[in-house]
Parts: sequence; structure tokens; C-alpha cells
Amino acid sequence: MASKNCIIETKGLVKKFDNFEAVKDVSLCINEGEIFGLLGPNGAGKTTFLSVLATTLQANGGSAMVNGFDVSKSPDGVRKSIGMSFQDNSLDIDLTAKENLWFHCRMYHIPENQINEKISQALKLADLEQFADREIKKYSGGMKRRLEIVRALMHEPKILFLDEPTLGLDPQTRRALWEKIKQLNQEKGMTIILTTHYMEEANELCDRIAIIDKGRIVALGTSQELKKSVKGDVITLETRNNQAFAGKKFKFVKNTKLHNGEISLTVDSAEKRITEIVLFAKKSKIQIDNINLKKPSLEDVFLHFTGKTIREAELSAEGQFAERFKASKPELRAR
Amino acid sequence: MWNDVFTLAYREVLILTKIKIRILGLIFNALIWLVAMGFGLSPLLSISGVSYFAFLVPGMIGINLLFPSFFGASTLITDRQFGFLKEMLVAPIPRTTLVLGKALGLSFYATVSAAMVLAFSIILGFQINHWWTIPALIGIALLASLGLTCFGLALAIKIKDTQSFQLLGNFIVFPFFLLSGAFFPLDQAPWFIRYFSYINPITYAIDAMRQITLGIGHTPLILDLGVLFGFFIITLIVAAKLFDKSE
Repeated sequence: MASKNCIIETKGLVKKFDNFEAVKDVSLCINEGEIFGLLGPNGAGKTTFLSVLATTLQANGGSAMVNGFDVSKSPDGVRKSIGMSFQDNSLDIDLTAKENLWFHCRMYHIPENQINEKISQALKLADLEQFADREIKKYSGGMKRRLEIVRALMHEPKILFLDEPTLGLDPQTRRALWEKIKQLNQEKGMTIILTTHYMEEANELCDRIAIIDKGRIVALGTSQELKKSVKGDVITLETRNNQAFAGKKFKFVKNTKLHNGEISLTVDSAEKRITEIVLFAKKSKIQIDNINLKKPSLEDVFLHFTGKTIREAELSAEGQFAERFKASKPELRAR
Repeated sequence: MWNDVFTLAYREVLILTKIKIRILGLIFNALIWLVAMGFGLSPLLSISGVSYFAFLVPGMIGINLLFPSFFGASTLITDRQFGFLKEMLVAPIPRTTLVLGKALGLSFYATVSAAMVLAFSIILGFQINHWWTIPALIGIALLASLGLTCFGLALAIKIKDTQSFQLLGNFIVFPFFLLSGAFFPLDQAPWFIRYFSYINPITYAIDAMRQITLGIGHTPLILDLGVLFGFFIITLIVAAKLFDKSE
């Protein structure tokens, strides 16, 4: 049974592709009416997780309830409760924008007398009014993205899934879209689950954020809570001898991390401690090239929980791909 | 449900009408078969007391139904490739409705192509004795086409790329096409041809059409219609089940 406030609840959810576990044992409760963010690098399993919730992929283990419906036992009930915008194209490229929106309205049983009104509203929001009758195959990437998202909003579902909603959008459109997402959430009480690898987006929009890495949820909480979990401020240093700094045990330093030619020291009230660090450097004759003090950001939270920045996690995933590619059989590569 | 079927079917027709060359192709195809085969062989042959041209017309209608019905199903593969299938799959529409809607749209198109063959035949001298045979022929064409599109869709669900579908399709469609009684009467054919023809649904469509236009045929009309209806229902259920499992 789902707990009372969870509009989405997963228990030990697992999704495998052959031997690769894309989603590993995810247990999660998403509350009704919140904007929930899944933050993680590309390939972390965010899209796979959403696809299982949206019933387009079947889980290999565990359970998931969406709006009181079990995704594997009553997928039709789930589909009636949700709307989804996908990361890659799901528009009919042979049809025009208007025809695509019309089709969507019909599929979601929007009353006939409201359809025209809905279509013009959606086109206006996407700023595509003058391209309404153009076929999607003649659209640019950004135009498709905008149309795709406004289409998912048209039927005002109880739960809205947005997979990387602002990927590839320019800053103004992104802002406008954030406003629209917030408005839908506040006015209609729509529960919104979005995936993103933009820290800023998660920070700006989401009531709660789950940090997901390699198919696992490594941290969960509000933006504030997550930042607090880093426990302190971060002083970042670039020096000529990072090893010496990393080796030095300062009493007040809670956590030392060495990555990418930088040292991150986690401390309380960094403003007071910074002088001690500079003094130590002077005494040990280590030149400091750069010193930086900041309150923790989501990027630091990600670093704290995974030992990598989100960009590094993406790069390492690409690295793994390159290695696998090299290891693959030459005849496969030739194709 | 019928509203959803209509919407899905309408989309199929909308896309097909945007590609005007396909319609031209269909018209040309129908004409060339009728003119070359019908007029070429008519002076040499007459079957069961009717001219070869008249004998061929129901066969040509059947064949012009088979190709667009079966190969139209490959649009399911392109829907998947270009991503639109996802939009349909997350919509609150049962899989059976999705299959039925798509099948109806494609069948409508195939039936139009069959109707064009009929129209040309009449222009070229094919005699229609009663006006009601025209809607009856179109009804038979639609029923046969629904089964054939569902059959194609069931394969398109399993086969995930267009090239393989075309290749396999040729293997399947050509025996259907040649061994259907379209070109020669089955009662004088060798037993292996006869047996294959009797498991081929097109045979029954052509037989039914011959009976109502020319009054000649092999199997009772009611059996023809029953086989076509049964074929449609079975392929629809199979396609919907496969769809449910694979996506």
C-alpha cells in the first residue's frame, strides 16, 4: 500500500538492460503537489527511472505506484494520471505543429469546444504562432523542444514528467518555461517531476531534489538541506603543492578532497579560517595561486556525495564508453 | 474508444495524403496491370465463360489491396524511429485501440487504391450489373485490408527496422500475391498451389468479389466473408498482445 502522502512511491525499483543495471534498488516517495528534481549526470539512470514510472519501460524488480496505480498491474490508470515530455523527439515530423497539438488534445479527451483555444494558448506559450502550419521536419531543434513541452502541459495532468525540459534552450526561453512550470504547480497543484543536469535549474525550481548517480539515489532533500549536509563552507585552493595541503591535518577541517588540481576543504565559518590556511602556506613556503571561499552549492553537494563534479561524472562515463569501444571487436567498429 | 480510433486513423490518412507521389504511384500501378495483363491476355483466354479481362479485375482489386495494406504497416517502424510512438504509448489509450486506429487509417488508404482500380476497370469496359455491387466490393476490400494491415502491424512490432521489414515483406507478399487465384482459377491448378491458396486470406477476398460481380467462384460467399472477418479479429488480437508485451 502506498503511504498517504506519496503520489509516487517506489520500493526497491530495479531496471536492467541485459547485464547493465540502469536503475538500482531505488526507493522513493514523491509528495503530492511538489516539484521534484532528479539531478545527475547523463547516463545516471534518470530517464530510465522516469520511463518506468511513465509505463514505457517495465521494471525488472521492486514496485512503483503512481497516483495509486501500480505501474505493472494497471498501466492504463497510470497513463490517465500523467503527462510527459521526452528528452528526444516525440512529435510527428510529417504533421504540422497545429496537427500535432490537435492529435494530443484528442488522445487526452479534451472537449471538442476547448481544443482550438488550447492550441492557440500552447502555440503562444511556445512562441510558435507564426509557424503553426509548418511541418515539424522543417522545425529547428529548439522549436521542437518548445512545442514538445507545451504539448505535455496541454491536458493539465495530475502528474507531469519532464525529461530534461530545458536542454538546448536559450536563457530567456528557459526562464519563461520555469515560470510556467512554477505557475502550473502553484495554481493547479500539479505534481511535477523533472530530470536535469543543470544545478541552477534544480536549485531554482525544485522543492526537493534527489541526487542520482550510477542508478542510485545518493542524497535526497530540499536544496537547503542538501547544502547543509555538506556541513560547512568550502574553501578551494590551487597551490604549487596540493599534496602537502591535502596531507596536513588542520583541526578545523572536516573534509579534504583533492580533484582536478584543486583542494576543497570543508570548514565551519570559512571567513575566520582562511587566514590560518594562508599562514600555514606561508610557513610551509607553498605558493597559493588561487584561493576561493564559497557557501556550498548543489555542485558541492554532488561532489560531496559522489567524489566527482557532475561534469567529471559525465566525462568519466564518456571515458568508459571510449574504453569499451576500443575493447570491442574491430569488425564491429568498422560498421 | 471509437473517437480514439477515428483520431488515430485520421492521422494516418493525413500523412499519406501529404505524400502525393504515393497516390500517383497507386493509380499508375493499377492501370499498368489492368491494361497489360487484361488486354494482353484477353484475346487468348476466356475463363468460365467470362473474358480474361473481366476475370482479372477482382484479382487486381485484391492485389492493389495487399501491397498498400501490408507495407503501410511499416509506418509503425518509422513512428518508433522518429519517436512519435512514445507519444502514443504514454497516452491513456489501450493498445488494442492504438492497433485498430492505425489499421483503420491504413486500410482506408488501401481501400481507396482498390476503389481506383475498380473505377479504371469500369472505364475500360468492366460491366457492373447492379449498383449495389460497388459498395459491396468496397466493403469486402475494407474488411480484407483490415486483416492484412493488422497482420503487417504484428510483424512490424517484432521487426524493428524498415529494411528487414521490406525484405521479409517481399518473401511473404509475393506468394500471397501469386497464389491467390488472382491470375488463374484454382480448381484447375495443381494440389500444392490449391492448398497454399486456401490458407491465403486474399484468395477469399478475390473469390467473394468474383462471386458478386461475375457469379463465378470456388467457396460459398458466407465462408469467404467469415474467413476474412476471422482473419481480421485474430490478427488484431495477436498484434495488440505483441504490442502490449514489447513496448
